[in-house]
Amino acid sequence: MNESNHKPTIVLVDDEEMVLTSISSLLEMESDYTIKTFTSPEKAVKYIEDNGVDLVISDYLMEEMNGITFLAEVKKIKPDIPRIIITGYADKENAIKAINEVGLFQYIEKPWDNSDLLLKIRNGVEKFGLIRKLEKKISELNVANSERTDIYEKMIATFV
Amino acid sequence: MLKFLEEAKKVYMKKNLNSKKAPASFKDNVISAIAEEIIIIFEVGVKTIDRQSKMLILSVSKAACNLLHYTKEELIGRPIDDIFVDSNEAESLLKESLDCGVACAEKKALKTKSGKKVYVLFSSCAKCSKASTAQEIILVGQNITNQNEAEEALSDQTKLLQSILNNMADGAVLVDKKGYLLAFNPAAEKILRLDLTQKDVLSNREGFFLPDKKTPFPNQKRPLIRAIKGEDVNKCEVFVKHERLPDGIFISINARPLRNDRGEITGGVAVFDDITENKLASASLRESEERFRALLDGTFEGILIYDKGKIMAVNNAAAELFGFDVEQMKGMNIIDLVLDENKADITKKLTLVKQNPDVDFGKFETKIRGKNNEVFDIKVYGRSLVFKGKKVRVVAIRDITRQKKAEKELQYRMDLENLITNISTSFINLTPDEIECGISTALKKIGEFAGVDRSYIFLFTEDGKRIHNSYEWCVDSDCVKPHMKHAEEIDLSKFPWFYKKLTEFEQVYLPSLEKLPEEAKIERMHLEEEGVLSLLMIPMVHGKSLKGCLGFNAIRAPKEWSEDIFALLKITGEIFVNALEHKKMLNAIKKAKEDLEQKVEERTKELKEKQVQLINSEKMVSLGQLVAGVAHEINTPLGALNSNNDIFIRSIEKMKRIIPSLKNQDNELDYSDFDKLIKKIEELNQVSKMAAERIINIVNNLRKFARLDQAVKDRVDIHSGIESTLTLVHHELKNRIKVHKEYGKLPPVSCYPNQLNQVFMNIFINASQAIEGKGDIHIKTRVDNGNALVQIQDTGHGIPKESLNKIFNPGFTTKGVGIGTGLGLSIVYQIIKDHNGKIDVTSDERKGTKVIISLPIK
Repeated sequence: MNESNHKPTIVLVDDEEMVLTSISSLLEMESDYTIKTFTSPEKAVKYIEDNGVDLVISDYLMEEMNGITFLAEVKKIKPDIPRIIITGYADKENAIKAINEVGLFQYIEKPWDNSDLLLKIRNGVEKFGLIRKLEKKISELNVANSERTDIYEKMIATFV
Repeated sequence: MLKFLEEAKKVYMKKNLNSKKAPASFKDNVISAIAEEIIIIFEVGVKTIDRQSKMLILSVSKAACNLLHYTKEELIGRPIDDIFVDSNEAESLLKESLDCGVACAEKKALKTKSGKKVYVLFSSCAKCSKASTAQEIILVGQNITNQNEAEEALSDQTKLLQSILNNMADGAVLVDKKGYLLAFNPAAEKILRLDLTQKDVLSNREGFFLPDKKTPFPNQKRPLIRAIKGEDVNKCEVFVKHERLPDGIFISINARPLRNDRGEITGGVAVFDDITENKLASASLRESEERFRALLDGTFEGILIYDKGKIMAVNNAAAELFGFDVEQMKGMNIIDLVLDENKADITKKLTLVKQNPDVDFGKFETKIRGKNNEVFDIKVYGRSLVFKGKKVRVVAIRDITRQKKAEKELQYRMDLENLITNISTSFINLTPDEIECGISTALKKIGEFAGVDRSYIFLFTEDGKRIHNSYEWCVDSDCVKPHMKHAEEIDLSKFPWFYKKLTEFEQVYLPSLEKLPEEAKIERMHLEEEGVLSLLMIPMVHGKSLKGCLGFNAIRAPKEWSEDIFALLKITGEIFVNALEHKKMLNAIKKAKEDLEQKVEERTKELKEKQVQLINSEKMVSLGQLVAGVAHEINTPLGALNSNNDIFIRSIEKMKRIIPSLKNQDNELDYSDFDKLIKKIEELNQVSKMAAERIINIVNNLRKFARLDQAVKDRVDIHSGIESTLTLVHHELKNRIKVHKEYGKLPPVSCYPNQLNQVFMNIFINASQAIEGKGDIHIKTRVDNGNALVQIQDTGHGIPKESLNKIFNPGFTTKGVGIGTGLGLSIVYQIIKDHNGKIDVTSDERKGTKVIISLPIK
């Protein structure tokens, strides 16, 4: 796996085109990320299923499906991917409750601050990357460990 | 009658003598006629005239002319018919003569010239000629007119007599001087049921049997014998009984001796009639009269029989009633028995009845003065009756005194009951205001009923020690005056004996003042002063307490009262007491109702305020929802705008970095325009950024202001609330009012943030409306004794002193109709109250208004 070459993919879901355009423009300008935008959460789910995605950002109130539900779906299929919800919904309390239930990485209110958004996205991607690295390392470690255990057992077997 | 009989006898004899004679011969007649110097001769010849044979007068004698007052010449040649009254008689007479040669003496009637009747006794003889065709007759007559008249008179008399005898109802009997029955009339035959013919004669002297020898001639008392002996017997009653009169009859005989001209008794005559019926009638009448008498005397009712006002008979009961003897009363005038005052009336009644004898005067009641001079009430029934043969009036009198007394008592009872019922019902229907009047009326009624001079009621105070109110009624008379002033207070201890009696719930009954005991000296003096002769007083008790007393006074004359009156007073007293208690209760209820109403009013006011608040909070909720909706809707395009603007800024930055490098590469190009453009874009970007920020700010503040989580108390920074609110009212304040803030150090305060925001909002709006033109608002905050103090001072026109205490009243507004609801400060007040805080408003119309809010931090 070539990490340095990996270009993180961000999935954006919002039933409002203008939001998608705005955020994707920002990300294009200020980052190297690949941006995939969807107005339909279902289509987005499909894509995430089939492709490697580093971060998912979704709106809360959408026609087809509630943002939380969507992100719950995403969690089901690929639980590691950080999920961020953008909400213009004024009910902060309920939003927070929902976030805790689903277990989201971040929660952003509309209107958002671009710098804030960028930061959160970067963090998310980084986190994901780190997790992946960690996993990799763990699996390497496990391999090494098992190898070692093997040798150890072999050694013991020799001696015993 | 007897004289008549005598005459009749004479005539009868004479007639018999006359009838014994044989018819006279022509010769004799002539002789006798001549002897009497009156010769009426008619020579009559038959002549034929007009083919009719008529008997004409050929010659007449002088006597004939004289008799008939005709001249010879007038008579000769006349038909003989003319002079006869009945022409047929002439014919028959002549015919007979012609036939037989002679005719007997016959009485004929002739008429004179003047038409007067004369009577002639004719004999006729036919003058015969050898040829036997003689038609000539000689009539010889004798003037017997006078005789005839006498005879006729006699005959009439005889007929009359006969008729009388035959038709009399009384029986008549004739006897000779020896007592032999000579004659009797049909009535005698009928009455005595004689079975005789006229020819039978009494043969047996003994016992005077009638000719049949069986029928006894009534001889008791021997009326006929006595008559023959010369006695005039009158109304001798004799009882006759024989086989044809089995039941016997009574006859009343009048007998007289018959005397001739010389006065010698020639016989006797008796006239009698059947008095059996009468006798029986009078016997039965006597009997019935006796029965009547017995009945009369036996009955308990007094019976009076009177005729034309005079009493004819009374029975024992009536005599007893009036206190006289039976005999005393006979002859008295019925009017005298009647009480003077009723005389006129009764007289009228009797007169009416007198005019209509057949009319019953029915029944009526009146009064009489009877024995012992007592007055009795009587009931009178009257009608007419036949008594002793007369139509009289009979009245039955019944003493109804006792009955009347009972009636009176009953009426009295009924009146009493009615009075009580009346008073009682009228009291039930009275309203509390009418009770006073009702008591006075009732006192009058019972006073009048009991016939007292004064009736009164005293009401005592609660402790029962003083009279505090009284009602009184006096009879309309000079001697009786009201003795209490209405609201006079009298201490009952002044009358210890009365007081004792009343408190022991005993009645005081004094028909006279003597009945007062020694200890009641004061009371006695008082009563004597008042002129009270009799007193009745009863206590009025309700529950177990003495409420008052009810009394009667007799002043003009002493009076005794019966148990009934005690009862009346007692009941009336109860009614009064009940009514008064009722009134008290009603008043209490009224008061309680008023109190309740007042409480209700207060509560309603509170509720209204709460309702207003609720509406307001509901408004707030819907507002909140609206705001949330709006905010949300705004947020998305706002987000995009904001983000885009940021991207523009970044792009320009990037462009600015690229351009210098480009510039370095190519110095020749003029980038000044481009620079300018960049600068412009940057400028505009800034503006857009700020605009976006402002919108974001407003939306945030709006959301904060209308937070939906109202029910939750939160620890908030008051200042942020003030700030958000200020943002929202910014448009009211801009360019006109300057806001000065002096924030102290405020810890987070436990509160309902949006409610506090409402408070601030309200105060700011009021301030901005109070400031005309330019002004300032000073906001100062500090902590004071565990409370957060927020002071907001404006430079507006202030609040007038008189309105200051009304500003928190819901609906109070100085802004005018339509502008202010007047609810703002009342809600503010309520919110502060809910926070257990305080709000204080001071105002100076020159300086402005200062609002200080104090909120507990915890």
